Amino acid sequence: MLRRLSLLGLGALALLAIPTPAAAQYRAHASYARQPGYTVEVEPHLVAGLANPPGPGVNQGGGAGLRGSIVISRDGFIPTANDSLAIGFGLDALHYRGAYGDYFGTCVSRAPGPAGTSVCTEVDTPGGPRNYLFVPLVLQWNFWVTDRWSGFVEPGIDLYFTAHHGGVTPALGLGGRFQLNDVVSLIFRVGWPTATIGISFLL
Amino acid sequence: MTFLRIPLGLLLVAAAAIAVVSCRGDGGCRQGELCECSNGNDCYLGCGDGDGCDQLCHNTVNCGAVCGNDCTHTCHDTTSCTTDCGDDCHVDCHTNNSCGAFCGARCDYACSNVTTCGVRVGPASVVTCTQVSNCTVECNGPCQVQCSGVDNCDVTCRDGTLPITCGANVLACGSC
Repeated sequence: MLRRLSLLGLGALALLAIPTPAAAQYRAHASYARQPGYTVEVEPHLVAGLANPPGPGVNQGGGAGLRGSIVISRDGFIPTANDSLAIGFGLDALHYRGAYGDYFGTCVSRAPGPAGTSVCTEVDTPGGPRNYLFVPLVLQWNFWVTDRWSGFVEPGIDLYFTAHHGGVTPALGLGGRFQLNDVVSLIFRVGWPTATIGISFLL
Repeated sequence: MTFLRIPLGLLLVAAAAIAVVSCRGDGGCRQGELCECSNGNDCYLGCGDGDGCDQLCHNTVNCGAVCGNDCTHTCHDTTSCTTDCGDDCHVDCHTNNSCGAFCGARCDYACSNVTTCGVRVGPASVVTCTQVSNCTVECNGPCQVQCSGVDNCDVTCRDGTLPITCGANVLACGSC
């Protein structure tokens, strides 16, 4: 149910992202001077999970990932602002430290042993250290503030996968980038479930 | 765009490696600290640090411990208790209905006051069955099995050789 709602929400956001002709005319005077002329943003980054992740993991985590964002409109939702829209997707791998203390687990794999015994060979314990794979799918709403600075808001969803568990969770990020030149920027975002810092290539 | 390929490639390799590792289960016990689980129906213990966990399980219906190397597992007063351990492990399974185990090299496994004890151990292991109805041991390499007060002491050398008798109540794979 949660997955269906999240997908519907993202779909609605994507529909909203398509600028209407009226909006385009209304902002015909607006300048794109501060927007770099790019169609795809490629962003390798380091990832931090600052709070408990969705699912059985706990505590903070860290890792690396890659994000790609495809520009879908150079006009955003605000006619008088220099804003634009992109669809972002990617892959983030994190290791969460776990909290220990919760020793009770579930046997998730068995093998036949001697004398008819069935030996548990793998235990899944909530609260233990755990690896996660996140697949974000977001709407990136950019604000081109100055020639070098820009910010963005990213509502969307994250698919997550960890041992014997998986699901979908809402995601929200607030970030910014500082352009070193026309192509390369430093980029960061804070949010949930992950925060990132990395290098952006506007291509 | 050649300068892009190296960092992107490294990130993809790292992500793939972590994804593969994530297929393993995780556990809540910590190295060097006693990790106890008791009462209730099921008690299954992992080892979050991989190696060196000290796991205790008792007074449950089912109990299982999974650990890497150099671990200790004590299990008593259960219906079924199993152990999956790497090398250099010490296991004490007593006063249970059945004990089962996969244990690596140099395993020290003690089984007492149990109806059925089924153990597969690695080279240079020692298994002791005391007051057991059925003690079945499979040895991957040289091992010694001592059976005291055992109705059926069945030792199999998985290299195909027959176990040899080494004095009173002791069978061995390889030399005595």
